[in-house]
Amino acid sequence: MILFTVLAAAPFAFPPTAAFQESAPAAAVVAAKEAADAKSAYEAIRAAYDAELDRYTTAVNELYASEEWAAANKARDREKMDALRAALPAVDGEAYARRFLDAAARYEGDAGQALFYRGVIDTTKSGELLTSAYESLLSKHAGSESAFAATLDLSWRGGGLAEETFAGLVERTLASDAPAAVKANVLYARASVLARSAGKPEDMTPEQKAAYDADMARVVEIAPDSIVAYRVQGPTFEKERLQVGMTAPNIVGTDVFGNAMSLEQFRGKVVVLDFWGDW
Amino acid sequence: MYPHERSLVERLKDQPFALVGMNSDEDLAKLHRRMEEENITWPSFWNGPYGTSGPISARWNVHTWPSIFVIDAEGVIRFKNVRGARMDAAVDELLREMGIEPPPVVEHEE
Repeated sequence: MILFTVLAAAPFAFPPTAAFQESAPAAAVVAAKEAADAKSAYEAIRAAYDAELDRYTTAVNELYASEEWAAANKARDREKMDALRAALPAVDGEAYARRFLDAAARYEGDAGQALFYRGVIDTTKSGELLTSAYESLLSKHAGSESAFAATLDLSWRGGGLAEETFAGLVERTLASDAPAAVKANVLYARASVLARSAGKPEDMTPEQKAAYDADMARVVEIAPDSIVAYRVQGPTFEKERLQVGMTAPNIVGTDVFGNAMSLEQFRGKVVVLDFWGDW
Repeated sequence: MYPHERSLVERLKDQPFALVGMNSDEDLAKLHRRMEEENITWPSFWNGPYGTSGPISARWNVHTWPSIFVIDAEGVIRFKNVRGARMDAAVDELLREMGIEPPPVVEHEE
């Protein structure tokens, strides 16, 4: 029985105020206060954005449940359907991206600044803003949890960046002293973007395939317990460990209330393991 | 989903059976509220703060939600992605292997 731990894995523990550890005590106190300020400032903008998104989702659901929509759908009236959708209160992501960017400027030199760059990345559709937010986040706060989270998404956001910009961002991050987990995310993103540019992974040229394989192998090598390494190994793991008739690999983690839980503790019972989400 | 899961858990509450979730929501506070509203009483692992990008679903190569594994009392994977009536039938079959006659399925709303 091979055990693996997931939530206890090292890549998830980033000390958010590490940059201040060498500061004088007085400066450290100021920095800690600023970081707390940054977090609440970030959360205020984020909450407003999330509330707008929720309102939009509710409006979409109400529209789809309405008689007016059903009638237009039944009549295959595309124009009417488009008009009904266009009348929904769309969320202006760019306005929030600008708010995050303005806030980032106010927290220069503060570890909490990283949060605002992540906010920009989560809300903008502008390639230019996305690029500058990634550049700032990775050059100034590569060790932050925000940098980890934002680069974990880079595999599908990378397409929003200009090709050369993306390549440069990857190169600079790999050459920096960013944590291995962040470098692994960036390598995974580069390989994924390359495969997608070819259409399907099978359609890559031999040179592209070699570059792809090298990046993916490096992901597993430098951060073997990271999410992206698990992704790389996922298909093999499924084939070798998750087939009907095989003993289920143990899962050692926590439940949704933070209590330790393992799959093996249910041994002796018939178990339905249900990957779910409330959406 | 929830009505079916609730009725499964209720029907087999006195049997050697466990419904174990692997939850992929990012916001735990919101999830806790929803679990209370929906009367979700069975245990769930948490896939971490990155939602569907979390480590456990990555490890298990899960890309579609919901995904289901039915595991017998010995810990062996016996069925994958059975839903609705097929999920009830799969669980009942494994209970019968243990010499247990499970209570019958009652009608439930899907």
